[in-house]
Amino acid sequence: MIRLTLRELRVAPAQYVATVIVTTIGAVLATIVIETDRVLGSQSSAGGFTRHGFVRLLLDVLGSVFLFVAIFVSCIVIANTFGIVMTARARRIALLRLLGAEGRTLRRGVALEGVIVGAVGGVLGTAVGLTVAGILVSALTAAGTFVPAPSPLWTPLLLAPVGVSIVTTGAAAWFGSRRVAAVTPLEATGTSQEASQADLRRRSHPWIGYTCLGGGLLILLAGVAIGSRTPFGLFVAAPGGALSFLGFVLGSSSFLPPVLRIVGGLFGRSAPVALARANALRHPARSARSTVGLVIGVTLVTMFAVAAACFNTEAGAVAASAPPQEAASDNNFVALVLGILGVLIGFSLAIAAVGLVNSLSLSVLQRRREIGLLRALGLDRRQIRVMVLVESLQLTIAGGAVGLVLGVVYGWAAALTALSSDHHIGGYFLPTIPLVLVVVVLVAAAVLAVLASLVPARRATAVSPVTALAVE
Amino acid sequence: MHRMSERTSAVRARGLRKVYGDGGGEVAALREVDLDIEVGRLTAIMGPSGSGKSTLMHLLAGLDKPTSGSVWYGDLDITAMDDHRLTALRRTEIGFVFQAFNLVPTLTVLENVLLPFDLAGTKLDAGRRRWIDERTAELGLTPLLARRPHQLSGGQQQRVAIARALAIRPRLIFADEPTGNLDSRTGREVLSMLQAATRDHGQAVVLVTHDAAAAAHADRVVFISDGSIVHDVGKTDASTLSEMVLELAGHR
Repeated sequence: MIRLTLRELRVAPAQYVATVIVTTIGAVLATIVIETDRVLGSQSSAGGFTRHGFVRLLLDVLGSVFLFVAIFVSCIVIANTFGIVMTARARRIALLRLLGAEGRTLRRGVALEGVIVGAVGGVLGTAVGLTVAGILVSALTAAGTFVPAPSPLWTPLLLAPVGVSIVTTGAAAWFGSRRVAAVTPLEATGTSQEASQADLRRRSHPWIGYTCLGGGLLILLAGVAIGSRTPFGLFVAAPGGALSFLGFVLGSSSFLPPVLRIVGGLFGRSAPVALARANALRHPARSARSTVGLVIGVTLVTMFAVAAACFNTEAGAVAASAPPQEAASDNNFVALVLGILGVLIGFSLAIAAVGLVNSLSLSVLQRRREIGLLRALGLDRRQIRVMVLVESLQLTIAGGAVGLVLGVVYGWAAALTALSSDHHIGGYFLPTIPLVLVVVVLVAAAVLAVLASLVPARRATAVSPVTALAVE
Repeated sequence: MHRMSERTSAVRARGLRKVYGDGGGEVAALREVDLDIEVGRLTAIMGPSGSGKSTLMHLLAGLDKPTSGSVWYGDLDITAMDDHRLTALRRTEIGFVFQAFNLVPTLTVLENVLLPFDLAGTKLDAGRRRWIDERTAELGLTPLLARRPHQLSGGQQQRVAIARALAIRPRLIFADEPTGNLDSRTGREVLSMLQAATRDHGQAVVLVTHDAAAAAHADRVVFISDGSIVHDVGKTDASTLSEMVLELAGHR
């Protein structure tokens, strides 16, 4: 069994690329949060930097929240990726089941794959994070922002990101490999071709999603309310936000299709468009899975951007009351940290793109016969390409729009919780929505859709009417 | 007609019935089938598509549950088994050879052949290892053992699947259209290898096919039509079998 796992890792490493990227980014983020705290500690004791304790506290709290969010998102994306990998591997799993492998044993093997991939990503990410931190510290010291302070970057605490990567990736792989338990040995006999192509019929319980969403939103509101007294309300609001978001992700197969339907209506009524629209809605669970990574990425980017914009707007009040030089240095610092985190979150958007390419390719792969039939019935290559592109556009634009809305809500809630207790700001405020962001997200979604559809479209147009109708 | 009682049965089906769908949309895929598959013989199950031959094979191999009736391996009724015991049964008692996708693409030929033991977690003793070496040599696989499936021709892949099926010395080997993807010469080779397995090692082999030329290699041919056994004959030549198929098609 272990041999099969190792072979899978050695022979087909491409299927783990997305997972390695995700765990690496998670570990980079964790490393940077740890190093930021250490460096800030040594800076504030050695030099006069960040005397404004509120900012220091805020950064620590934000850092922990970012870390928590990153781990949470990584788990969802990894579980998704493993789900896709398992769907693609269904036939092989069925063959192993036929030859007498227990479903449980096979799942353990997949979890082991996750553990190994997690270890690789964790070590890689820690190394990258340390390098980035080292370069930043020496650059900032050279620029005079930091005072030269002896602060060795290594700390035993850095083992934590590796450990957390291993545990979360293993767990996410286990969770994502539920598909394995659903594969019947009958699927290997080839006579039930259609059954093996049918999407994982997840016995989903929508009420779990609704419950998490509702409960999470209540906790989030409670956190915002506490936030009017103390920024520690973030410790209530963040889990609440995460829970509600988890609820949204779990219930996404019932929340997203209506959005997909609306977006699908925007592209007109030609035959390829109608086919694409039907495809995106045919397997709501699969479409939701393809889109959800993008929703997560856009939500995060929007959330941080909105939170930062709110902070900038509202911080004017703080700056007015603080000694000007101090306020400026604090604001610089906040901008710096937000910049770093923004770049990291940008990477998570790239992961969402990888996930989207994965699932579009899979969807084309599983529809080979059908595409062959369409070709035989007279759809030309250009129309096939349009079909794939529209399906891709529909998914990305729906995902982008939903992510924008969620991100504004969460970012606003975060800013309210963190800032409304400050006596200079005094109470609640409306969200500041950077318009540039909205435009960038929508344009990026469209570009992503085109890029993501290139490979699957090439695969789809390569299907010949004859081979697709032949027995596999 | 041959005399069943003279031979030992590898598997027995009694009153096997399978109905798909429910309520108004019921379709009977199999109606009350009784069948004994004997050891040391190549038994072909023939029938037009939709006749129920695949359903029958799935039920005999424990891949699907019948609506009613029973399937006996010795004195064990496999229709009453849970997934855990069925999995163990497949691992030790049943070999499979299919039309396509027989092999795990990430494993070498040798690893594919040894896979059932790997899955069971059993160590190979010297005797078993010798048996496997002899079978792979017989099938001409010795120079190919380190290769991966995609480096093999279709016929070679089918030979690896046969070697894997023989490796566990199963009670029964199911071959479902094993020649479907092969040219006729390679197809004949594969069929003679299955024949040799019954002759030389006393293996029971069930060949499911709609190809009269393939079924002509069998010691016994069972015809299924509309979910029932309509003919059960001994060794028959391909042209006679073809006529029987055509006749069945005409009467449907």
